[in-house]
Amino acid sequence: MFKTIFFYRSKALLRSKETMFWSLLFPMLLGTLFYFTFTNILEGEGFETVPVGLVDTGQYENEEAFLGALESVSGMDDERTDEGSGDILFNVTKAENEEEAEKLLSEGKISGYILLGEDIGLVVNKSGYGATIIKSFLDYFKQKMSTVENLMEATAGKITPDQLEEALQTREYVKEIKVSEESPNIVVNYFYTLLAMSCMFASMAGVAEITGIQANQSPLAARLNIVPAPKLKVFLGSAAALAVIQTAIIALVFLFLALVLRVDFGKDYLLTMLTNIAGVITGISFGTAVGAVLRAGENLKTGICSALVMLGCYLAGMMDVQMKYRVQANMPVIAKINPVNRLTDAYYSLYYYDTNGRYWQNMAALGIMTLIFLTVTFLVIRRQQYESI
Amino acid sequence: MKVFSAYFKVLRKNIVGIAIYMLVFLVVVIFSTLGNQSDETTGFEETKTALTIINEDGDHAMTAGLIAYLQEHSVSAEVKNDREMIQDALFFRVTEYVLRIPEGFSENFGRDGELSLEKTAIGQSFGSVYVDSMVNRYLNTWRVYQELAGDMAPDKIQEYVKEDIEKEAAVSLGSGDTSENHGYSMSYYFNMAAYSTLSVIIIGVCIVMGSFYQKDLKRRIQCSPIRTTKMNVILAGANLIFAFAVFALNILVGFVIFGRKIFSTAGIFMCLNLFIFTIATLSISMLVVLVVKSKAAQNAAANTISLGMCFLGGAFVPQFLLGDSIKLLASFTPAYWYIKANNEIDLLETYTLDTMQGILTCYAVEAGFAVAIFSLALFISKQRAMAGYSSQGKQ
Amino acid sequence: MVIKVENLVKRYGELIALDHFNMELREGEILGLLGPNGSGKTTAINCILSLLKYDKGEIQVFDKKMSPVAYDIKQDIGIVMQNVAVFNELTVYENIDYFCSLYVPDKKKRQEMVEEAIAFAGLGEFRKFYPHKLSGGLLRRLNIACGIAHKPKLVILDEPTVAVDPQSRNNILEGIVKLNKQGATILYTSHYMEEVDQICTRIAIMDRGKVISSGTNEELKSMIGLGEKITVDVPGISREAVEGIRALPNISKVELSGNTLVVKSKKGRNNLGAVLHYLEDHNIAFGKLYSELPTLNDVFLEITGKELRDNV
Repeated sequence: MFKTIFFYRSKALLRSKETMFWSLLFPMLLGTLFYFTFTNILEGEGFETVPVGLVDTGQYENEEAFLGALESVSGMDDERTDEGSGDILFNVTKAENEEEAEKLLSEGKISGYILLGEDIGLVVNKSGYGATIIKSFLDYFKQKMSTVENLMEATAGKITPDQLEEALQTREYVKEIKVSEESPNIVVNYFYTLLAMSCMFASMAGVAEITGIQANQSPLAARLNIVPAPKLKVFLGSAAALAVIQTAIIALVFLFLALVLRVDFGKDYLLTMLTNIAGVITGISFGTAVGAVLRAGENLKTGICSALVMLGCYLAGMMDVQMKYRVQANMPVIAKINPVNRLTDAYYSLYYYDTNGRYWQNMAALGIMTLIFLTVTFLVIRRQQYESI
Repeated sequence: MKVFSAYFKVLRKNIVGIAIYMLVFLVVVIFSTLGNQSDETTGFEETKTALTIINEDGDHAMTAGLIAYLQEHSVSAEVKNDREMIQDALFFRVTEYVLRIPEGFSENFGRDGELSLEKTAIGQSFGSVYVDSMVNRYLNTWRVYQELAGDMAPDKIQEYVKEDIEKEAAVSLGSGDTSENHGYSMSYYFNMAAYSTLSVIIIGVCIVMGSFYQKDLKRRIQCSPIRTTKMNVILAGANLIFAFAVFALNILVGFVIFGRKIFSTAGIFMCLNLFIFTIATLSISMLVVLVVKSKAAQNAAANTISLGMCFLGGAFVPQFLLGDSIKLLASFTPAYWYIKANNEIDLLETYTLDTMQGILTCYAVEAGFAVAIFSLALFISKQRAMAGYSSQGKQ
Repeated sequence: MVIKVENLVKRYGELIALDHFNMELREGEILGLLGPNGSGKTTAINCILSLLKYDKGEIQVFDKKMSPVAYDIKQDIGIVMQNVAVFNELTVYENIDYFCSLYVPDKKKRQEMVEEAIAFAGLGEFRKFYPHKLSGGLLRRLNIACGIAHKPKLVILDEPTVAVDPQSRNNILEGIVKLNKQGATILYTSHYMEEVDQICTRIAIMDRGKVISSGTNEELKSMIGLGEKITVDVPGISREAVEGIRALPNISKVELSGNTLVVKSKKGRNNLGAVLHYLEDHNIAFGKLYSELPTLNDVFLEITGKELRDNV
């Protein structure tokens, strides 16, 4: 009987072409979007030239050195380039006086202006990317000037400009050591949450599965309640079919991410597949638990499921990976019981660690969650008589 | 107006679901906004990175000075010097940056066979780049003194280096009205609101309109003497009220977070922007409900569209980080223009027709999207009505 | 006894759906459970099937207490629900096979049964059709085939002919009789009197949650004292003649309205002759004349009253 139920349920699922189509297409579409968004960020193409104003009162003692340094990283306004690439950090607009610079600033045409008075000053309206870049440039210049002054004083001016120039060449003193074979890469986390989300969206089908077996929800369900077999058996056959089909969908999404978009999933694809399966089962059981516990229409249950999954994705860092760490730091319990976070961590462990201890820890957590969801589901659907149909 | 009242009856029946949905997405938006606070304060407070230093070099003045300097500008995170422990600490962000000072580092400093410091960090985060630059500045400066100042005593060098690298440019605030710039970022809130607006309106419209688009009911409506266009206009009107309620809720939450700041000039322009975007979202929803029919698929559609647009448009990832090609792609979605407008409003201090030009363009493009998408939806719905849905079979 | 229900009480909040409902179904019977909409027929069936909780009462099926886990009892029940309950994504054949598989694990045996059920329901040429391609009548027949393919000893049909064209309806009714001849005991609910009249060996009339009358249809008809009804056009009949007819044996009621005389008899089928003789003997000219036997409809309306029920 299990076999026949499984067989026909699979058939029926495969024939709901619209649902199949969308549940395959959407994650791939999102994955592609992620890909384009994050590839660009990684390649650093996106850094914009910062528009900066300059008010030179002629009072600054190192005026010449400063203007030289500024020029080397800028396009001045007469030779402005729109290519935001290369070494050009700033687009400098010279202003006659402070009022003019102030006007440019308030109109949003510059991120801030440099005031060359007796000292170097920076005037901004608010912090932000542009202001930070300008400030670090100014800091760096002042620090170098200070070094040069101190040296001159200590050596009583015995240093030649050539010597100085050579010594001032900067060197890199930090060498990156990978803690694992894979360099930690935050971007993969976005794709992992995406795959985790796809797994957890099986919960929607789980809700439908439960609706399909509760006599008070549909005539077909009522029909299934009077067959000479425990409801659990019918449910399991049906849910198993669902799990297999969903796993197949997720496998395709995973292969698309790994092979087409070249997202790094570590080396052990078998374990990644195992994670996918665990994710689908967690998703379905989450859906059946929600479907069984809530007394509401299918619409509402599906909506709630989807909202909860999205909340999980958010807390697992899907929209902003920093969120994941904020949750980790401030509300570790939430991070522990969030299945999306656990799934994401499982994928990440395979990619990042060279041992699988952390991976199995996450898988065990998913197993426990599934067990809880299923227990809740069974406890509710075991109640086989209804107040009204 | 029976159609009209029927709409709100269906809406009322589903209000709990939509409310829960709304709540979840508001939580997302509020959380993000509150969590994003420090980015907008004007005082240039440096973000302190969680830093772990493993010193195997002993007690040399240079190393000690470096460590002291770094510790002053970061948060110390104690991690055991063990590969797996370090992996874990990085994984869970207990530390963001592990710096190992190898044995003999100061001894060989500035000579042939110079050693490097070893860092292990989580990607190219802002914090890790910042620590890199602190280390490099300190050591480069030290090297300049060591090379050029002859036999200056390490303690003396240390003193000079410290003096140099603590130098900072003075930052002052412009004369613009900067009182608004403290606290939580309003533009960030409004950017995030694109997400809740898209999610909630698409789902809500799908749920309610789904009832009206049931096959038999749809046929019955088609048989009634109300013209399809008129019917659609009435439904669009009802949807508009729903959308307006979602908009009002967004503004209300904004008011709770920002108080009267939301009624400042910038606030008003952002509200107006959100309003136009809400209308554009509404027309998207009406298209979705026509094209995507199964319930599960509608949910997936709502999530994909809202997530996709928000990523692409720069609600989650700041727009300035997006590459040109992605921005070009994004410019085919209303979310991009909405967020662009918010960012520009945020930068603006004086509002004249001249300075507002970019913002007004964004408004116009968003409105254009709203009209175009709504027309497309109307067109499809009319085509469907004529085709009589015959291919759908019966049941 | 196939089904025995004693003092079944079911409340939906304030509303009493079943009020000390009693029913017996003996082996080999076709019992028609008749009642207006909302009288509690479907509720009674759902209670018998242990789908619904009930407040009070005893239900036995095949002389055993019925419960949700009485799988041995369920094995021998076939159910045809009021609402069509089939999978939209499965074909006619697959649907029947699916439901049959829940009762009959053996694949070979099942194959035969499914074929028989398809032949029985006349769905031969539609076996590869999806439900949404079937007409209303065919869909109902599929619904029935799914319920009876496993050859149950007890078949419960809950208004299986709702919204079905006359051809399909006859096909369905004939099928039910055939099932009965093959040995199945049948519980049949309907609010179509002719159907019940046509196929049932015994009838129970329900109203407001209880059986108010039961027996064979003859028994029911005689129980309410209704016999033949004779209608005759008699232009210009005298008052004496009317009284004369009223005095004939077995006549219960004589009414004259305009030129039409309606004569109702207490029982029997041969009262027409007596009236005819009387008219001829007294030289009374008459036009159109016809006689009707009482229908179950008359019985039903007589017992349950004539008001519309759906809004009760």
